[in-house]
Amino acid sequence: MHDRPTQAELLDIIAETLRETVVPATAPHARHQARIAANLCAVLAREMADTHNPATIMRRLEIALGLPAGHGGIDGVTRQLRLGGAPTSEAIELVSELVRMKLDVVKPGYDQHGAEAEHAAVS
Amino acid sequence: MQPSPDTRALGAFLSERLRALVTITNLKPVTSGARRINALFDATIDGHATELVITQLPNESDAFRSVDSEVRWLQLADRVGVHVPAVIAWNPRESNVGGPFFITRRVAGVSIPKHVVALCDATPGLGSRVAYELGESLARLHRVSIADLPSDIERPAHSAIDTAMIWADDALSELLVPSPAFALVTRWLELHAPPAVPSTPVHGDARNGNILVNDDGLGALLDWETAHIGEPFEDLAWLAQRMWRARSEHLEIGGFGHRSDLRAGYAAERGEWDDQRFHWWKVYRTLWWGLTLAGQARQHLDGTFRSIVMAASGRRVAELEWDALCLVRGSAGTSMASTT
Repeated sequence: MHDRPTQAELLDIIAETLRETVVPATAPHARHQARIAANLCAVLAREMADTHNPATIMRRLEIALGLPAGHGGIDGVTRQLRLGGAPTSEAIELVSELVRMKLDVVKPGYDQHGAEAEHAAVS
Repeated sequence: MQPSPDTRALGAFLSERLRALVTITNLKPVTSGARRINALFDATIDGHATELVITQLPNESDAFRSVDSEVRWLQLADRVGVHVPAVIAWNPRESNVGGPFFITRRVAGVSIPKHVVALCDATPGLGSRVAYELGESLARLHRVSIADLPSDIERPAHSAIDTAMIWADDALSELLVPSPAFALVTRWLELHAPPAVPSTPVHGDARNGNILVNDDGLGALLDWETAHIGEPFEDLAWLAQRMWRARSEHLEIGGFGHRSDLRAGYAAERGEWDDQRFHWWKVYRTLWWGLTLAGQARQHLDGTFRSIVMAASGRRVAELEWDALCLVRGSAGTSMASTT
């Protein structure tokens, strides 16, 4: 058991310091890198609080792809998606769900622009 | 970051090359990365003031292609009516000016994507005009016969689509973390590949970020470092990627224009349009960029190019997985049948 601040609280203040103190006081070529460092701290803080569990989705994907027990896992699923039949709507939805779990950590809200919004942008 | 070019040496170089008295002032780097630097400067040539730009590489071996080759692409583009800055001098070798470089006339405009979008937002009709002029420029480039290209430009052994699919499978096999999304998208691309068409010259990186835009429209199409022989829709669909839109998501072309604007400009210069081919390349280029980002993270991790920028690229892969899946999900022809 460690004392406060916690890991997440420390990452928060590192990100805040980088953003609000280091970035404005830094030369242009380093500013971009300092901004990235702040963003990565925020990603780590979200990753530590992440409660998503992809195991259920992975199991549904294995079943959807017709993989026999023991031939799944991310390697088996990936191989089947590359070499199997045409992607089904169900497979696309399940794989999208796996990606959405990652986006919640690395870029929250990115999935607000989905297939319908992209279709609407095409004109 | 490499140092700025030496002003005195640059003045001497231009004096000799232009056979005139040249003095250089106000040299100001504007963009600078690991691989090249762009700097604006003012030159007085036999008493006449002119505004120029130098693009300089750190050394000969770090360049994607030689300065000679990039200059030849720029000159070709200029000759056929593509909006490019005129080249006035170049040096393909390292010298007392620094690494290899070329010098062009300065074209007024903004190039940072969010500034391009802001300018177009503030100027009625400008975004449509820029997209239209990009269509015109690219059509002029794409109709050049590859027989007219310099002989040192590599002629590909396969069609652009076959080359693309070979590259994708190689990149998939090198991923440090398997990507179900990219595997699915690659299968979709394989099943929906359009028939091969004759190869043409392509810019290779035409997008918001490599264009100069001013109040009059498209000032110039920049950065010909990755120009090659390929297929027209490689270029056209690259303009439509979500990541170039600077949060102006609803405008497909660079966050400032519509596909119909681009298509109209392309057709005005006798470019043949094909929406299905456009869509295939839009999906492919999304996959390509995602796999490229994963490759950057790998280069960071294996020590080839350690950098926080390259490391962060690895955590951007999910964005491209999402974009590619959205494009595939929204496509006609997605089978509802079993995958087995």
